[in-house]
Amino acid sequence: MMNVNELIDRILSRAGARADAAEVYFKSSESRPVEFENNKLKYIATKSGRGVGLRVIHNGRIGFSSTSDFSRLAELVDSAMESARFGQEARFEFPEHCEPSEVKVFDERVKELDPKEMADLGHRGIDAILAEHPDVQCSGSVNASVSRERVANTRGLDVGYTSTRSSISLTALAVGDDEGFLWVGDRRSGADLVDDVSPLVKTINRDLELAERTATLSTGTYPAIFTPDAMGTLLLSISQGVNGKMVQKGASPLTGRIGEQILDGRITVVDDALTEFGPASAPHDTEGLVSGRTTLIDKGVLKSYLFDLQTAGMLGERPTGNGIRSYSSQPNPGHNNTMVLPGDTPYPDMLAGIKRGILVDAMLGGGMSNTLAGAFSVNVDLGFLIEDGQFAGRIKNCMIAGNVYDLLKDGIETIGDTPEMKGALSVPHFCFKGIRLGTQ
Amino acid sequence: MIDEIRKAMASASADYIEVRVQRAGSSDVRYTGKELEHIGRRTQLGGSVRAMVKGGWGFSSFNELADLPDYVEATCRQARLVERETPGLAPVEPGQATVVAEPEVDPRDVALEDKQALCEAYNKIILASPKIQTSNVVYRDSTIDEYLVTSDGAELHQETCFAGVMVMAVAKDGADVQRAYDSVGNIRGYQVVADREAVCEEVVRRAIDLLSAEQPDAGPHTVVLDPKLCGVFIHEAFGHLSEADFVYENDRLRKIMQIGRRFGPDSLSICDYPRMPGEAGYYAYDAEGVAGDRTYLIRDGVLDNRLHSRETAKMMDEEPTGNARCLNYSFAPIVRMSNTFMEPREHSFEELLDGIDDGIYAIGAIGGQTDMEMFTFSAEEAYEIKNGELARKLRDVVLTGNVFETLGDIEMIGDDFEMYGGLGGCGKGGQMPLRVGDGGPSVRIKNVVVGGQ
Repeated sequence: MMNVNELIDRILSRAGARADAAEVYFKSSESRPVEFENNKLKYIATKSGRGVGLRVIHNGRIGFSSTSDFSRLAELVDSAMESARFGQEARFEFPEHCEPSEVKVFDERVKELDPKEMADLGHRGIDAILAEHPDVQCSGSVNASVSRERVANTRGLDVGYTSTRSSISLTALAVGDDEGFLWVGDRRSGADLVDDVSPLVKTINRDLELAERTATLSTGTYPAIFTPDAMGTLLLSISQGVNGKMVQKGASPLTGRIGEQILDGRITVVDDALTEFGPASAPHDTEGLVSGRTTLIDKGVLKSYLFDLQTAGMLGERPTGNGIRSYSSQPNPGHNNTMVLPGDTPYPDMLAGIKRGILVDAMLGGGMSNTLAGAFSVNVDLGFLIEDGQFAGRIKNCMIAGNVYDLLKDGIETIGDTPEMKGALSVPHFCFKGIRLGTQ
Repeated sequence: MIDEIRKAMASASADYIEVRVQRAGSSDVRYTGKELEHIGRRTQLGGSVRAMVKGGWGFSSFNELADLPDYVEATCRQARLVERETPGLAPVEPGQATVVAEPEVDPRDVALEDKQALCEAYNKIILASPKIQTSNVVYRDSTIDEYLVTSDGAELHQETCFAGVMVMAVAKDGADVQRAYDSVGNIRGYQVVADREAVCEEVVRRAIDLLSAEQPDAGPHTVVLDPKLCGVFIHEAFGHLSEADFVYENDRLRKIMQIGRRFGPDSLSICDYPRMPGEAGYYAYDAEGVAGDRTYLIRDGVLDNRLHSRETAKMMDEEPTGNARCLNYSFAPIVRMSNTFMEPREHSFEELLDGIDDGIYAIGAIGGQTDMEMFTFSAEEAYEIKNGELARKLRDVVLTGNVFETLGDIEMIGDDFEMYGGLGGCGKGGQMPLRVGDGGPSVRIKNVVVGGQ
């Protein structure tokens, strides 16, 4: 088998001979998940994958094709050229050069982690949950992966990097005497080695305990604390809203509103590719543009959208280095790590301030309503009644609904002072003045 | 290919070995607004090995097929590390067959420029209305050629050929944006994506109408679901709970999900049927080489059977149903639905509405989700029902229910029936979107909680 780098060079020179300009994006990854089901280790797996995407610009139009079948490279070039006959008009040129940012995305320890250690890690977590809650069933996975990507084009750019990622996720299911189900879970991930299960165990054991009691509420409007996990669902609307593609189509409600106060003055949101060992950190994007930080919302004022090359070109804006793709798709604007900056209220104070309200941690059906307009309407999968600053039991079989833009503009009571990194989103707890809750 | 795979497996030792090789080709066209954002073809080639040793599983996926013997060896080694005592796999008649895709019009015979022209025409219809801000037209076909060989005798060569198109209109009024869509997709052939001009016009009308629609009142309502939403309701409310991998190792759940338990009225029957001709969830043999068959999940209101892989069937001492599926070669098979539907009964639509003083008629589906007990499903559009008649138009109608109550709250089942596929699909265990068919008749249910004002 030919060396991969030679292969990329060969595709580029073949495509370069036929198209006005060409770009190859290569990505390979090897991930080694260890999976637990019903308190027991079930799978040890190795998943390797690699492929190339070829983008050409010919007679001013974009063509694209991709493959993971490296015996069919002639066909790859033919398909990309065929696609350029109809393709979109190119509103950019491939970059000639990139000085990648300095950011740590590789940890040798992740690469070296062996399945035995990963299995032990999972067992340790599950045993610690079962020690306090012997009746629950735990599932989960411990994963370590190494990825390599390279972007090269016929204008001379040739950059790439190797990154690692590790993650732990654990879920516990408790089936009550009333036949009710309770799911609680937690996860951690990063480019560095995530090998401490204790925070996950702590969260899961705490939530299992809190949910032992149940509470009922009638339909009405209640003050509500949203945990960082729950905020992730709400922030979907904002991330769609600042996506340059949605703006270019005029579909985003934030179109044409740069400089406008769109949210509460206490909210600042930054897209950050440079968080050390962040799950979505990168020295450059998938088009070979240097990665950095983009302030999206500054004290409630809309400052910027996120762009890839083509979308920025169409709007005459500067690209922000947010071209995201897999090898089998063309770039689109997307997020790196999303950082919602903390406010000034400690979580215990937030909780103590609620006389009668709810805490929302997990929701069912998020992203399945008109998220673009900011609408949300979800089942409270894990939520609690709060009375006089104390948890007073789990609430179930109810829906909360509202509009994210309205809520984040006029509905905020307080913002927590301690952000938590969940996946590629860092956000603190938020307390809202009133959320509409529907129940039987 | 089958001989090559057999050779690679020859020297390996495990209680069970399964090797899959897939070659796939697809073409896509995507318009967003005025722009043709993507057009082109892709190819994929990959394989996977799954091995079981004393109940523990190893799995590998890869693109370098030349290294297959090494992957078989390594996967068996991984399986030996797991140490999980189980009774093993239920015996089956191993499938040995060649299954050829039989699309009426094969999308591979249609030129890329014809696919582009079709999408362009649909896109023009949508953008012709001045109230439409932007559009989305996505065409996709994919042909998968799969070889499956197992150590206990399955030798299968199966081909599937899927084609579908999704059209979406986005209407905007100030900061208010409303979307309406239609998605069709199954294995019948390219003709299913043709002649959908009227559907495009309909989608435009719906998106614009949603701008002036109102939000529902929060709280419990009697609802009538159309066949499409009924399909999603069944899929979320009961289909996932029927997947035996959720129950098989949990004593409490096994007790709750005992065959013979009543879940709904006598009129309620729910089926899963992989071999339903032409439908999006069609397959002849599942990912373990087991022939797919019709399985009644609920028959006459009572739990009748559940969906199994060979492992869950053995553990529960029941018959395998042929419901182990994987999204593609890079995933291990898990228990999944195929084409899942509620059987129709005798009531007309007028009878379903009759006698509802204050309810909601919910149409179409954006999606749904379940935690196995509680579930949500969201409608594309809806109407208030006042005194048995359709009244004001509603939007953002998301419904929630509880599997132990809501199926029992089914009051009346309609006489219409429709199956739906499309470009979307089902998600479970990180494997999404898996092509599935969902469907049923119109159905009336009381006491369903709706989110809203």
